[in-house]
Amino acid sequence: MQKGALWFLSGFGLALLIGWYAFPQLLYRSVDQPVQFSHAVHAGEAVGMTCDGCHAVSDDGRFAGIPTLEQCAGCHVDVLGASEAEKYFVEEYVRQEREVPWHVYARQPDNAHFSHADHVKVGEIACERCHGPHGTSETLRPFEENRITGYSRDIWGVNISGVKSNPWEGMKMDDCVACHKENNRRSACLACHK
Amino acid sequence: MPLTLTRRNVLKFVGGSIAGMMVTPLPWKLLDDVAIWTQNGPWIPKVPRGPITTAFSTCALCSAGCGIQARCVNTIPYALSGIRNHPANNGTLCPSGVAGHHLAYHPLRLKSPVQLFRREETIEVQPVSSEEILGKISAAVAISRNAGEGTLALLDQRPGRSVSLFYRNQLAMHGRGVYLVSPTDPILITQCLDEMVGTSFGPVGYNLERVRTVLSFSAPVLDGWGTPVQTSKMLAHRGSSGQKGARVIQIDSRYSRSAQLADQWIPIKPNTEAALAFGLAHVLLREGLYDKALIQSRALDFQTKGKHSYFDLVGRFTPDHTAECTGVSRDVIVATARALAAQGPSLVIGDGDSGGGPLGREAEMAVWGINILLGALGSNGAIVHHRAVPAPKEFSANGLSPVQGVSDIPDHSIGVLLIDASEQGDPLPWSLLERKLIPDQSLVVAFSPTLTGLAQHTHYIIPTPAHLEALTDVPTMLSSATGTFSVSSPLLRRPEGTMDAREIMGKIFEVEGTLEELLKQRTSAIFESRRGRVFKASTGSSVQLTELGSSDELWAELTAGGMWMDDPVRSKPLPEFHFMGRSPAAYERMLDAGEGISSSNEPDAPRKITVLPYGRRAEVGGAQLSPLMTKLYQESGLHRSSKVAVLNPATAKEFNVANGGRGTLVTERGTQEVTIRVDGAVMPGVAEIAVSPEPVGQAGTEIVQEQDILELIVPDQAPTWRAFRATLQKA
Repeated sequence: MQKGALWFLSGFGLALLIGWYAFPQLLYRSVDQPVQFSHAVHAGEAVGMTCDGCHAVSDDGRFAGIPTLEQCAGCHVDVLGASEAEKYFVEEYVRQEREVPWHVYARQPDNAHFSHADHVKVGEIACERCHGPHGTSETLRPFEENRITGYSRDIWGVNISGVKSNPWEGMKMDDCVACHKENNRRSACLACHK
Repeated sequence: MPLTLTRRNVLKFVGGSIAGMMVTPLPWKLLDDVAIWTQNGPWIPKVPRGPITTAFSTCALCSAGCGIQARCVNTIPYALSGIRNHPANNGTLCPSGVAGHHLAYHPLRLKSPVQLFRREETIEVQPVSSEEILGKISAAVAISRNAGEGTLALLDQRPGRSVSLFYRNQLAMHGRGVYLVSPTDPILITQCLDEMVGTSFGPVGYNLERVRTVLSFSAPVLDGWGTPVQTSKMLAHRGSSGQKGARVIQIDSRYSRSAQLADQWIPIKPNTEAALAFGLAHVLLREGLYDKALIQSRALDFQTKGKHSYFDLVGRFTPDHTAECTGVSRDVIVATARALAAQGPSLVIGDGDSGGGPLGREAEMAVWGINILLGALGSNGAIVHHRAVPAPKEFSANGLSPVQGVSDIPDHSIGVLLIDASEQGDPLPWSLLERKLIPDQSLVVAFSPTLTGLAQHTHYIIPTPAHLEALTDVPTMLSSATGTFSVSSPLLRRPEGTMDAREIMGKIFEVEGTLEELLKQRTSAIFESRRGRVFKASTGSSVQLTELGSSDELWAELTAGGMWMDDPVRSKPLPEFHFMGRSPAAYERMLDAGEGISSSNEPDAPRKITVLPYGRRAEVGGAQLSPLMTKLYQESGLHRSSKVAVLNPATAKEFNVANGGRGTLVTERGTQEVTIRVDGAVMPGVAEIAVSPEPVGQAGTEIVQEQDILELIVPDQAPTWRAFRATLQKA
């Protein structure tokens, strides 16, 4: 091999290393959720709640999203179990009447309007289709925040290359449009951008 | 094998790095993220996070009075939709209405009073106090009371509101005040009928449920002319004559959206609508297809001895002569007249389109004439009477200044011109207004939320609350069969420094009171009338007004997306009337209108082209259309830019311009650069140009002036600008 090719290849290799490994490390910062929460406990047999017990679509079509402190305090006015996370939650938030500043994995820009009622109730799309099967998770994974945009890594997808291995990976406009095309639905601009 | 650091090797390393980088996500993901960052930067206004609520109001962008349901975050609306079952829009909203909540963030939004200094292509704005402007206006108003001085005129860009009554009241008490409206305003169309009967015939509207045939003279009847409910009914039932709905025949110089959607399109030479109306009347008279007893007993100028009569006038417009004037074949003229008579009840609608300007007084009277011949004004006709919306008694007690079109007043007569552009309505070429001002001595002040439209031509602007920041009422639409009243209640907090038009006029005329008090007084007057029904947005249903317990309860419903609708009344019989109006030179004026004689109708000159401006109501005002919609329209081609001239292929060849090429339109008023588009549906010899707001530029206090095609119009005595001549040069 010529010496010149070595220089070229080392530049090429370094760029690959930076682009595929260092760049994602730098681009995202990992932030823990303010309180740990077990979906498995709440949706399991012991408590027996369903997804829409907390993430409900009201009769007028509004989606409640992440439950408010008031909803959580309905049960957790006092510590019910033995977990440190629950104790912390009750002491720091419920008793002090402070809303939990959750980091929302699926948060979209303000200029994107998404109707859960249309998709879940009318379109009969399962929650897992977009949010993944986290109903059985024991803990909340860290929120990976894009340092430039401020959005969650979930919006782009776990794989930095944009290649998706599961249908719930990615929540960008391209993903919405692809799903609409797949299901033969219209994709008018003003349907989402009000 | 040592690796020597040479310039060549460094370049190879950099080359390898660049090549390697291209096959990583880094550049592409960075590009995407930076693009997103620019959308969310700190300079972009953001809706604060908070509870999501629903609020109701009424859209005041036009007089359709559509009910709006607003999704709000932290009380700030972020998405608008229509209210289900609302009598005006039944859950739908037009594109302008859907984006109405953007208008408060318009790039040319004004939040403090300004003085304007016009340069060649830009306007410089300097802040000034409202006290200073009001002081200047008050001084000028005081001078205008003296005979021999210029008059005080107020141009109301949205007549029919309660504040309009306040204006007319104050102007009447001033003594030399003139209340002006744009020549395109529908109020002037009914004034033509008043001129024919010699007295106020009362408000009239259209009962489209009764109609089997609609003949439209360029009115966009299937595209934003009536309320969305009326339009959707007409669209749903078109082509089903005699069964459910009306057959629509569109007379239009353009292959407009209404022409495309109508059952029949009759292309016509620009500005020859009056001739066609006379030609149709000719066939109706010649074939006896009219109510002879009615005409002989009521028409005072039908056939008169020793004087020119309507019969003489219409007699000149034989099908052959009309075909020559209008370009419509004689067979089509005869067949259309016969269809109107045979497939009745028929309705003929004038009105023109908002951007293209009015048909003109004589053409409107010619249209009323056909309606009278067809019996459309009778008790079974489609043109129905309704009562005026009740108003506080003090207005009628103090008198109201008459409504006048801009062209009705003498040139160089206005000393102080106040323009209420707080609710921008139909466009008006500045040149038509400018000629009414005393040169170099007049004071022109606009009340406007934005530096758009006519406000760009004034000396001062006092900013008013923007759409959905202001409390205002919505007047009855011309197409409505009964009187209606609704209130657009604010969904956004208005900025400090803005004043509503009632406050401004109250300070000028030193009259206490607020707009809210005025609207509440009107609501009380409606409640005391004990008539009509009220649509309640909260339930999506209507109840009798008498079921409401108090005026306050009615006010609460009206400010929450409700609408009051008067009871229908039996139409009055048509009194004695003149087909040609009562002016001494009526015959000559009507004849001139029919034959197309006016100063704008000069003989064909080389390199000159007939420009046809056009534009739909609520899409033509700079402060009516969200900048987002302007961008979407123009990028999607749904609505043309006013920088695009569309020509027939033969015309393009004649003028040596190509599709996509550039051209320059020149009149005595100025020049405008246009991009040429070629379309076989355009009539030869004309250039169709949209009247629509353009994206605007701003650099510090300098603002690039809106260049609208209407700026090129050279004023003449005709109060219309449906077609004008301009030189087209290849750029």
